[in-house]
Amino acid sequence: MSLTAEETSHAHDRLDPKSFGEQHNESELLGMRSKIDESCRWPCLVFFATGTAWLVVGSLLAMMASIKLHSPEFLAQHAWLTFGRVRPAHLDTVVFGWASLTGIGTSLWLMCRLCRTPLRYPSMLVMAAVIWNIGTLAGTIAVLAGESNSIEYLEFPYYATFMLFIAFAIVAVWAIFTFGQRQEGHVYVSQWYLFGALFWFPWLYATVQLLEIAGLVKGVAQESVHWWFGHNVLGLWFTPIGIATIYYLIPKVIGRPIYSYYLSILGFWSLALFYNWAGAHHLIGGPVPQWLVTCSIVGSVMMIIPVTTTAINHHMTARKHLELLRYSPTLRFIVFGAMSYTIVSFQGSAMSIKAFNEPFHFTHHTIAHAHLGLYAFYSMVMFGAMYYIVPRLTGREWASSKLIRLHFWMVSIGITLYFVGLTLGGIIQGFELNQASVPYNEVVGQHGLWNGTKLFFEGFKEQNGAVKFMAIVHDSIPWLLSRSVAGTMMTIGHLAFGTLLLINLTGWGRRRVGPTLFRADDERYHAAMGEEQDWTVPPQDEQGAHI
Amino acid sequence: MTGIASILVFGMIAALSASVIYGLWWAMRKGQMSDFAKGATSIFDDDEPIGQVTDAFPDKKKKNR
Amino acid sequence: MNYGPTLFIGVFLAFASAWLGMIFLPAHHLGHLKPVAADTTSPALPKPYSGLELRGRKVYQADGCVYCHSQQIRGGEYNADLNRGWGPRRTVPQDYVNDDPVLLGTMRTGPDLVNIGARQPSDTWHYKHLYQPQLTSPGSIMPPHPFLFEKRKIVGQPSPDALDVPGIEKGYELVPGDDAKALVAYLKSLDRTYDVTK
Repeated sequence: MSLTAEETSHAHDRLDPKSFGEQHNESELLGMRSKIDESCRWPCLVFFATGTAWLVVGSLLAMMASIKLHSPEFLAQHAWLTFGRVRPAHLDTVVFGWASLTGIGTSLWLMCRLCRTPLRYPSMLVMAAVIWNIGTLAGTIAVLAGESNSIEYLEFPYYATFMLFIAFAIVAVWAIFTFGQRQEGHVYVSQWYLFGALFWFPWLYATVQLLEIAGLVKGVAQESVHWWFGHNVLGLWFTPIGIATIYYLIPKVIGRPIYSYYLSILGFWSLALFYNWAGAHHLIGGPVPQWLVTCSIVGSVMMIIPVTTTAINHHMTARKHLELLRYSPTLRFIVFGAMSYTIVSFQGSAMSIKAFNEPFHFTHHTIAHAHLGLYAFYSMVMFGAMYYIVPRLTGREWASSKLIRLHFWMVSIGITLYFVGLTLGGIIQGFELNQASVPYNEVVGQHGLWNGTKLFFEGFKEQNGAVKFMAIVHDSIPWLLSRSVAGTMMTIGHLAFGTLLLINLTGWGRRRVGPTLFRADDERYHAAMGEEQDWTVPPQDEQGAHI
Repeated sequence: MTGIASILVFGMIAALSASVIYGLWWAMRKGQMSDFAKGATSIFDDDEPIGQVTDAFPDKKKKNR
Repeated sequence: MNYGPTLFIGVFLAFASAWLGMIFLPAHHLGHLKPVAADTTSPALPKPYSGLELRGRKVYQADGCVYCHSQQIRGGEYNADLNRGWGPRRTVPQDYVNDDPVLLGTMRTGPDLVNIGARQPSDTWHYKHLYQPQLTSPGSIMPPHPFLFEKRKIVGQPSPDALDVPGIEKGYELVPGDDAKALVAYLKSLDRTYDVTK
């Protein structure tokens, strides 16, 4: 059937009752899929490789900061390595280096796959990656050199943030353009989330830079703007990219569609509405108007709606296929991430309620929460995404199952230890900062763990305590030590992943042959899938090329 | 906050909100909200059909292929 | 679908309202605050920072003090900060009118500092604490900041600024550098204990 030029150019707008997949035969689709993956190669790999390099740098900075908190003499001689500089350098390298770069790389591939169109203008995107990296490097060096303005998440000097903004803008423009080129009529839920991230977030970034850094807002109102932005880094940049990835990869890996697509759309729009209000929960109790704080608490609690819909969706989609967690590295990381998203979001809603906020504000509990979100949710999802995407871009399989398993177990046990240790430490610290009467370590030392803990909380209920500050510091140290142990494990995991990535990028891995399986003759696997097909014959396209 | 800043911020609020509204309007107009089952299955096709698992650990036994 | 117009208005209000509420209104209400004098003969409070104090504030930013220290006292139903003796009252927006940027802080690995100038007016204490926190606060996890100080050979008379700290050999003295002096001046200016009538 022949169409006029105009009809063809708006073909996707007519929302054919048949989806793209139904309009083409299998080998056409295979060819197109390979073409799309191949077109993504250079830009995505540059984003992934540089992002992972920043992960290693960020992990080293993290270890330094963590050790300094229980051993303050560590590397304390020089200004550029003092805790007050290393800590923001860690935050900025993992947020703008690792998390953002891998997020963009994943988003590019997702957009192309979902639009079913090859990636165009790859050199523009590679340039964006280079600019972003230079900006992050310049900003990090500036922080270590003492040029930071110490506004959390916004420490970089204007020249670095300007570079980040240019790169953001390039990616946003590319995203709109690519969307216009799409061959698939249905806009999948992941694409909504990606637009939220790639298009709306740069807009917010520019706004906060103008308002805050250019000094258009004065006084404590700055902090309202600051945390409105800070929370949007999580809610309109990282969360959408993470959720978009989960919504695509869980169905793709297990081979089943999302349980309730309607719920996922509802989840997106409610997230977009409520998240913007949540930011001032960082300022509860502070010198800001009460109505502002109240609105933020409401927004934070309303987040339960999108989070619950997302959690139901993920769970119902995957629940009959959890045995696949044994066979798919991507699924392991992504499911870990998805579950962490639910936990961290409910925790966040709880933390904004005054009864929780009073003791836990200003404590290590907040840091544990931050890492549950940015690491246990977002970073684990990024690992899962890269495990899926990279072999499809390079045509090479991962070199070692053992290293993948080492990576997974190190980081999952590591982050669990991190979260538990610092949450408990934060709870104790928080109660001691507020109403507790006796220091925790002292009481447990005298009365044992169980009775001591009971006595400690009874002292808290008395509402008249004031544990001396130095005792609070002293009581935190074991928990801060546990964080260094956890961080060491996580760093080992990162080195394992970095090694795997390096091997894959430099070509030492095996060439991919067909959809790789754990073992082609594993009876349990096929029984689990109810499959009859013979997987030992690798599929090839018409030209005999490998998939 | 100075006058120019107010206009700038107000303008950005309006423009961003307008684009959000436009997105929702567009989606409804183009029928994105009409067939949710189609939306969910749109990421599958004959090449990667429903029921096919598409990821696994690298195969240890196929080392020499 | 007839829910369209209602839905759009709802979405618009929800989205735009966050901007209005979190950015525009606070900036509008709070952006015009200025120091206030209690009567015609008193100085307007909070006092503007001197040049040295502003320089010290930059050191505070450069060395990331805000990542362990807050500068806000909660009040009302949150009375723990007041019980701890960190100040006579909670802090209010007025207290921060001269601060650019405002450094409320979100962590209390160390104590709150908004009234540290009132709690600890001794220069010597601050210098020693910055140089080596263990000297004034044994068991502290605050990092030492030796790079803010200078160990130099005594030429002629010892300097009046010289600090009495262990580990300095005979013939040498430890003096605060310019950044240390500025930082301590800033810390001493952190005093928001004045009354606020509102």
